[in-house]
Amino acid sequence: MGIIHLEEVSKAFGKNKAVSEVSFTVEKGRIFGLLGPNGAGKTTTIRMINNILAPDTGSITINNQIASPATQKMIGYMPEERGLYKKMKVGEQLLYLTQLKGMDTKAAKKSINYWLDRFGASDWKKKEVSELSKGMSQKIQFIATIAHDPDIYIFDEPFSGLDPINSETLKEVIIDLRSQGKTILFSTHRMEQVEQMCDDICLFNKGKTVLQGDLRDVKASFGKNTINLEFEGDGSFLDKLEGVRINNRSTNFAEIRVLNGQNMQEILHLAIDHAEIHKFERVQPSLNEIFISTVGEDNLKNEEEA
Amino acid sequence: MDFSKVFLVLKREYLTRVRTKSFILSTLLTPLAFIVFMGIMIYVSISDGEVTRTVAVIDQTEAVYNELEELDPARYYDASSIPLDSIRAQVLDGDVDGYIILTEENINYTERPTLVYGGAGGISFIESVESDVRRVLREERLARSNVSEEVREIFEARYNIDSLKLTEQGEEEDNAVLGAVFGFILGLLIFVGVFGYGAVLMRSVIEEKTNRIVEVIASSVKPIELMTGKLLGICVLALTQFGIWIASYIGLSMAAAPVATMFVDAQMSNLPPEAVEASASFDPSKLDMFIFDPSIFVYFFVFFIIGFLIYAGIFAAIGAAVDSEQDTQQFMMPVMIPIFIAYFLNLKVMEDPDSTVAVVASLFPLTAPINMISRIAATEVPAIQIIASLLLMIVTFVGLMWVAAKIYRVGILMYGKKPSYKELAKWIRQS
Repeated sequence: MGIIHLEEVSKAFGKNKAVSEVSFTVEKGRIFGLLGPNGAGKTTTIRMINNILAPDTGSITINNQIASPATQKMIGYMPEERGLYKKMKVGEQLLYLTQLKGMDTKAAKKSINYWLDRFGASDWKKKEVSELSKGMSQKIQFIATIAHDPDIYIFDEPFSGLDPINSETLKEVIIDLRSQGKTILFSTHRMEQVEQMCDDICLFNKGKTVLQGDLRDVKASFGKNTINLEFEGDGSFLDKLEGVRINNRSTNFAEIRVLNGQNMQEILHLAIDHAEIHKFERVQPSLNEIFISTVGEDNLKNEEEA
Repeated sequence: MDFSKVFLVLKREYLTRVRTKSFILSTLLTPLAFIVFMGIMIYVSISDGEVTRTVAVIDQTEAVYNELEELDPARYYDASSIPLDSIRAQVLDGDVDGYIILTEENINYTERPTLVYGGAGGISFIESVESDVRRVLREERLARSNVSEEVREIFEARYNIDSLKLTEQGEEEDNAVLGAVFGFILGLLIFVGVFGYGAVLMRSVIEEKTNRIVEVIASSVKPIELMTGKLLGICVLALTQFGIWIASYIGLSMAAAPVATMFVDAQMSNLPPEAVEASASFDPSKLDMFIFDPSIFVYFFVFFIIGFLIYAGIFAAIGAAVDSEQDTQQFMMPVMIPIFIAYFLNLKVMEDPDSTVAVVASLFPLTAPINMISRIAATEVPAIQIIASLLLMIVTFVGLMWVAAKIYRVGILMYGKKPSYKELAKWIRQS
């Protein structure tokens, strides 16, 4: 059993079913991506894993323990909406937040100093958060999440609002944490980061998991049903194609997802008739395409039922 | 509940606030303001008033003017030689506040003297002229009637009564008026404390919500632990402030009499004997009346703590239910109504602490924190009533806290639309 395990978890707010019968497992030492459109139930699921909310039904176990104040200490959590006490000094604030996670004062101070050093932020200790720039307070926020040295790290949309430099630092730290055997779960809707970092993914839509597993297996299961086409000339022929979805279209490039098992050679013929072809390649779909097709088709199905 | 976490929250809440400039200043300046205010009150009550009002005296008897001038040289002046018309003109112009003609008939009291005045000065002006004139006329009549010294002394004497309170320990000096006023002030202090520090707590909850730090904290502590810690932290903060105020009051009240005695003694040794006699009307030991039985302060803290806890839960719940301070108004009404009723009833309690209204107000748990302390200071409250009041308050506290904790738990993670009362009821049911 994995380090985080959800079994048939449901949560409703009034009539609105935020999460229904969700099950998934996060294995130790992996980077796990939670994907899905806004309102799919990612944040609610993350809050339940953090024992901030309790599930209505189903069970959540962390390290084989039911989610509880004890399991909270094993997790470092950075919510999507980040925040710190504006009128409190950085050092005091980090100490407070780390102590709340159950670390004793001495160990907490040592760990905070280590991380402040590593981020080149030791000088800020006596400053109030309101004096810091946005990028600086993002670093402090991150230290607050990890200073108690948990085994599990949960980041809700960690890259939203980060500048490119901090984004890169965060990516490095996440990969570094994995190499130390830590487990990372993060939610995002930015697919390129998932493709670069995640070992496993779980795709949410309308409170349900619609796709999950090892990222490579997931992609392979879709087969080479996508054409990457590079061409020169008038691209308007692309509009005549039927039974395809075109992503990533530009003046001389198109990523064409072929639906309904249509013959790809016909597409090639049409293309040759209208433009000069530089490249025609059959590939696995991008995660973005998988995301759109899974979530989109699901939506279509729901509309037909309705 | 994990009390080590509650304590951490309490400590942060307390330490970040106790160090703020506004807290330090209000703690130090309030007693100072109070002393200044008391000083002004005493000064005003001793001194005649703000403006000296002048009265032209036309003394046709030629016997009493000197006496009047002696009583208040700034007020009275001899206008016997000035024509009445010009005096009336002066009154109309406001140069003189009024004039009075004194005749033989007035001394014999076959006719009442008339003060003609311009309309300014009010009742206190008329009353003080009346008492001055009454005094000089009576003295003149006594002098003319050739009565004995003994009779004159009888007229000079003022008959007042002293009151003593009979208790198990014997007779004690008791100042019922002072006790009632003191009780009113203690009640007022609880009113201000509950309301002011309740608002501090509410703002603190809103701050955590708008800062968005609350979700980080909720991933470490239970909402009830967070709420309890915050509530107790602010309660200790309030107790710190009141503790300092009351300690300085006790210190001042105990030091007042000895210090005043010292000053008076020092002054007297430098003064001629007749002046000593004149100043003897001020007895420094009288200041001891400001020393109260310490048990009243114990009651004060007990009633403040429970009163604060009753209201603080609601303040915290309101803070959790909204996103910003502007949105709180709609929910403040249910809190403000009982607390303001208690405040207004407190005047009634001060005037008549044993009336039915006062007894009911001091038992009803939402008004008791304010009204009971005023009653205890003003009168002998039966122990059974104090115990009943405390029990009712504790039960109310537990009930309100239970509801408040549920609203708080749901509210701290809710953003966006301000909830209606119906939605709040749903929060209470669902959590």
